Amino acid sequence: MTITLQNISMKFSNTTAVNQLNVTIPKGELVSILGPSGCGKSTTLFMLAGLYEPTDGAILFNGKDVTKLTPEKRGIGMVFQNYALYPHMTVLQNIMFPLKMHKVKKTEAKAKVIEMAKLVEIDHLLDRKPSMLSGGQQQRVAIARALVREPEILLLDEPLSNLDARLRLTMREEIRRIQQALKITTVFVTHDQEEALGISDHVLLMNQGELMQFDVPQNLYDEPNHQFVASFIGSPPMNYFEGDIVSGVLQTPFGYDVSIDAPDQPVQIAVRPENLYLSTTGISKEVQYIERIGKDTLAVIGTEEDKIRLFLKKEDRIEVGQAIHVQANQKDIRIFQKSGERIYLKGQLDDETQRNS
Amino acid sequence: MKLKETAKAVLYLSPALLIIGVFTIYPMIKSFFMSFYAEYDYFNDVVHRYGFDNFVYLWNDAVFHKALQNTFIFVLGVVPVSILLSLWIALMLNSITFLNKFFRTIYFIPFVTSVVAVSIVWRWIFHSNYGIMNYFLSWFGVDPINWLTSTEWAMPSLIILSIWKGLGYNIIIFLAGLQTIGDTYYNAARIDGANRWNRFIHVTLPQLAPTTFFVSIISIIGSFKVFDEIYALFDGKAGPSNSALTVVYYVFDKFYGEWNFGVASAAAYVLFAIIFVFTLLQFYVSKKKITY
Repeated sequence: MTITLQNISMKFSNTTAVNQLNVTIPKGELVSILGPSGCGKSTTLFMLAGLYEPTDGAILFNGKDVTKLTPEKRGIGMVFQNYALYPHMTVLQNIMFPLKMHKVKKTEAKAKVIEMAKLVEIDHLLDRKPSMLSGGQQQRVAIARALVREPEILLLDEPLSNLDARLRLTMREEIRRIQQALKITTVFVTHDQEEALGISDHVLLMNQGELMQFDVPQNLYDEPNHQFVASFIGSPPMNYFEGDIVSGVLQTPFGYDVSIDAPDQPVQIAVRPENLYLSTTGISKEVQYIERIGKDTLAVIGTEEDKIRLFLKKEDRIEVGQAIHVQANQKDIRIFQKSGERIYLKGQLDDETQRNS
Repeated sequence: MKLKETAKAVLYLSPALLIIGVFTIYPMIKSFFMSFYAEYDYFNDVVHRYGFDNFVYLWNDAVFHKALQNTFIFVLGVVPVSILLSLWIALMLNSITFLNKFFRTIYFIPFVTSVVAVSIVWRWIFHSNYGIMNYFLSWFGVDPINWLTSTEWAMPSLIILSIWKGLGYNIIIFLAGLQTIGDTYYNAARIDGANRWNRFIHVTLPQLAPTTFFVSIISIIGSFKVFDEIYALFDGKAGPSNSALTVVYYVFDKFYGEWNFGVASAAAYVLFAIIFVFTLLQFYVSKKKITY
């Protein structure tokens, strides 16, 4: 089912949790809503579920306006952050509950529950109470309950945040597997970018109630349209350098100038750590420390206030305290206005228009 | 070190222990023995013979049978209605956001007000000629009822007063129970397609079960022990021709009225046994039903 949000806003007494959100979630995709805490991502999900009624705007499912429809009538499945399994019911009763509420015949319902339990691999736990299950198992029960009525939309509210790191990875793949198997339109709220970028078809990045970027994960990383996106996505974070546009020419600290179609102004030049490399030209800094992160070696250079991070190549040999030069290629730099908006260089603009067409 | 800690704890507890010991523990033990005093000279505090005579007396005493019957009628009349009504009011109070503290206080006032004061007001409410109850009923064409002066209406009057008086306490307990049920369960149930009634049946009631269990035990024990309300409502008597006589009133009357200490103690222990059996029964049922 295609989900369309038209100018959706949600105001709570004094605060605006979601502001003028416009986005279309394509049918059958897994879309993550990503953002820092308090950015309005859960509020957006609750509006999709019908648990909140937006103060402004419309929500369409397959072009049909469902803004005023209560959650009971929306026909969606939802997994809550703490799973919200009914503690007094067994796993079987929990999964069967939505069917019971829709007056499905008992034998039919039971067959359906067992089928669903098999899909999420908990069919051996049907007689247990939720309190006797591990976090991962509870998660699977919650997913089974959400899917048992074969809804066309599945909503997940930070479903992995209560699991330990290893289980999180497993369940993340599980969710992707189930979503792919059922081809169900899925909206997944998370504050963990690795999760979002890892399993999503599209990512909706929000900040302070506003949509920052709705794009495929790769573009969010490579082509951020705003400095917030550039800073939020990626770990270790983006490096920033001061630059200046003077009469149509961007003066970079790397020793080269780039012609640019923008008014004169000071700008921020952003470069990912993996796109900086050692050179004989470019910015000169002192090596602060060197750190191994898994297979990579990360060098932190510059001063405490003005840190620059870059990944070293295998053959690079530098020592702490050594003065080095770092360089970035023109295709790897991203330019942002001081207000945060992206300024596209010539080649990049072409990519951008290409992507949108 | 351990010994010192213990000694310190005992020292702190001793004032309370002393009071409980003198006014609760000692009378409990004493009255247990008293219930077996078959021949007792209370002028000289000499027991000539121990035996089951007092229990035999109760077995044959029509007045005690009447007291037992009235007590059961009272418990059956008060407890279910009180629980249902207080649950309903608690649900209402839980869903209002405006002035909710104020309303909670209002419902709690009867519980903290003196029984005597409350009963005097209710005596006026129940008055057959000037009472507001009969005035209210007259709107619906009901003839004046002799609430406190007729044998058939004395018990209903007592039940109405007791329900009203105990409501506040039950409501507060239910409210506390309701607030422990997380919003996500209701949200999840809505997503699962449960309407308001189904959410109440499948989310609220089961998760409120431990609270309901507590309230029912407290109410049953409290109702079996009813006394003050009778004493104040019927002016120190047990209603017209013992129509509101309960077991505790019977105990009181035997003890202070007739100085029949043995029978009074025996009656108290019979009541204890009844309450004990009921409580055990409730624990047994709740163990089977409340399983999470």
